[in-house]
Amino acid sequence: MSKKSFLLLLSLLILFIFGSLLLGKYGFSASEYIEYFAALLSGSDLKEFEIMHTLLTEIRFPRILACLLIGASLAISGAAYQAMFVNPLVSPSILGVLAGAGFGAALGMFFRLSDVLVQLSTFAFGFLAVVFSLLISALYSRSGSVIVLVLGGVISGSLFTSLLSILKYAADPNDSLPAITYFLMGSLSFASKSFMEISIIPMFAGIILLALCGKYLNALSLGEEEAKSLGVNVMRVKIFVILVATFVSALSVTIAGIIGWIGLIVPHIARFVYGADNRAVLTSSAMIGAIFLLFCDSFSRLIFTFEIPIGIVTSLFGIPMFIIILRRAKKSF
Amino acid sequence: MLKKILISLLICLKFVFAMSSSEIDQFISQNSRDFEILTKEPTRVYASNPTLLYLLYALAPEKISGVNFEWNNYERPYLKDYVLTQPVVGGFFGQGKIPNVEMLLRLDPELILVNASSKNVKKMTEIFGSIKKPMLYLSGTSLEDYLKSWQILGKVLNREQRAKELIDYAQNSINLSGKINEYLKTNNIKKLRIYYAQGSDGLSTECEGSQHAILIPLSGAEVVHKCEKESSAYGRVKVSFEQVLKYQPDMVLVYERDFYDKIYSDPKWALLDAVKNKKVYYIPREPFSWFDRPPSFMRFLGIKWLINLAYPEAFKFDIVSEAREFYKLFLGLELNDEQIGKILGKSK
Repeated sequence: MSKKSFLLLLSLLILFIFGSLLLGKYGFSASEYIEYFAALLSGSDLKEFEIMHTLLTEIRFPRILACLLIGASLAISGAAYQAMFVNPLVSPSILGVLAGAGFGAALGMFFRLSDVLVQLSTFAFGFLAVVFSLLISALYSRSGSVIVLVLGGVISGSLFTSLLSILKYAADPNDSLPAITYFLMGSLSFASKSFMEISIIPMFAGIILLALCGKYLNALSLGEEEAKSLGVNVMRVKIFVILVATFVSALSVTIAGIIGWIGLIVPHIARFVYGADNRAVLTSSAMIGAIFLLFCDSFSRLIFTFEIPIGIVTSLFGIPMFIIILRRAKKSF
Repeated sequence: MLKKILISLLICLKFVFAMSSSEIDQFISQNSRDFEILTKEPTRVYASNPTLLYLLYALAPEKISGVNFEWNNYERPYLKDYVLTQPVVGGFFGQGKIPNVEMLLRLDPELILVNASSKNVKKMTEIFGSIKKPMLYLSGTSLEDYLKSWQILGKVLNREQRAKELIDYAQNSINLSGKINEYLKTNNIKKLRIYYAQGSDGLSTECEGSQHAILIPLSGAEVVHKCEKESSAYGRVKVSFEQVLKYQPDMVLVYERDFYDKIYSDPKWALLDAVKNKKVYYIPREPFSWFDRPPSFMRFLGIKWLINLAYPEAFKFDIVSEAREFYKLFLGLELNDEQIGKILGKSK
């Protein structure tokens, strides 16, 4: 990925961040914004800007941060899975991570565990779901056939979705059921300041770690034998990538519920624009994912007076894009 | 005779509901957040789910600020213009339409009503907490919850007299439920068995014990569909027609109009004795259902309506004048006979 295109993406990202920071249902005029930022920079009293200050720092900014992290996490883990399995159809949701993580989180809420334990259970079941789908595919296809892998993911995803339904059925309708329902709805309005404070560092670290795996994933995509001859410890790389990718996508579930499609579509866009080199694909996927989710979230915030679950918006915009890209994509992977 | 009067008086006394002023204050301090910000009588109140919105509508419609969803066409003619023009902000119910926080901030409600069951839903509390508005947790699940919530809200909104009128009516309906069950017991009358038909095929129903069919036991009848497990909160469980036939209910209550229109002409349903005996009733739903979905204060009229259908000899109600009185008190509407006839549909 050339420096120029990286900077282009970065400026696009910054443009979107500012756009979403300034746009909202609670409108302010340009001069009000200028006055506020002037007061903020000069360190003077913000008392008269109380509403704007609360709105920007407590509501819009944590949400933008959540968009960036979740969009980047889902896209980069999708890209990493695709590169590792040398398979363009794999994504966190297809391998069952999101369904497993959703079930794990709901299970934690069902037993009224503490926040930390809920997060742990989210991650544990997300991981379990991936392992399960890999096991199924390993059982029936020693050569690692694409179709069997996808089927393994479908089975794993459906298993955890139905387990989740059972849990919802059994949950106390007055207490844990609303908690689980609102949680799974998937909305970035749940991304409050306090929640972002806990998640920002582990998620950011996970994204960076994945972005640094490009070289090894390039080696893997040549085939295991080739990778070994290049001195890459295939097993170690695979385990590391699965762990980190599952970790970041499961964390995204704890913040905003299940958001599908990004992990599948964005890596394709990245590959379409920047070619097959995984170093470029991973970094650009993270950035495009962040931009894409910011765009979808702004749409969900601005179009209606109420909000629609973000998963609906991502698939609404993602699917046509995917169709176009599929049509024009070169056969190379 | 004297004994009978005394017993009924005792029943009435037993159910009389009232919280003292200090009890209300105590409830508020335990079930609110940022309430100290509220220094005067609030004029704009946002109810974050439909049940609380209806509760607020009956008590103080002029204070409603923002609604949860677009009003349905069958609701509109009965509602106040002011409420009809309120923006749709969304709310916490079902599976979508989460409130848009900025829209809410723009409306600037002075009080937010939140469902009591969501008190411990941290993420939700954080959403409303971020805009720093006073929140009050109220419940609207059982019929008794309404009395309590109206009394508390009446004090907070300075509508105590209005709250008292609504509570008196509601209390009367609840007492009636006690009386009908007492009546059935003393006269050794077998409980009527009711099938509640929902969905366009009539084959979605509620299990015994479901909150969505609460009026059936309250009116002295029983739900035919017994489930091994407690039904889910959403209700609407599927049954097969053969199962319904096996139940042979004494009466069928129908939620969907299109199903009601075809039940008498469907040869399959004609196998039911209730259909043969013309004991199928459409549940009135304008502006809100008298029975459930949405659960609302209309159920206080629904009790009378259902007792009247199930045990017409027990209390001699004239449902037309009952409905007229109810609509006047709760919705501020003077209905003419034609309108009431339309509301009651064919079940009149």
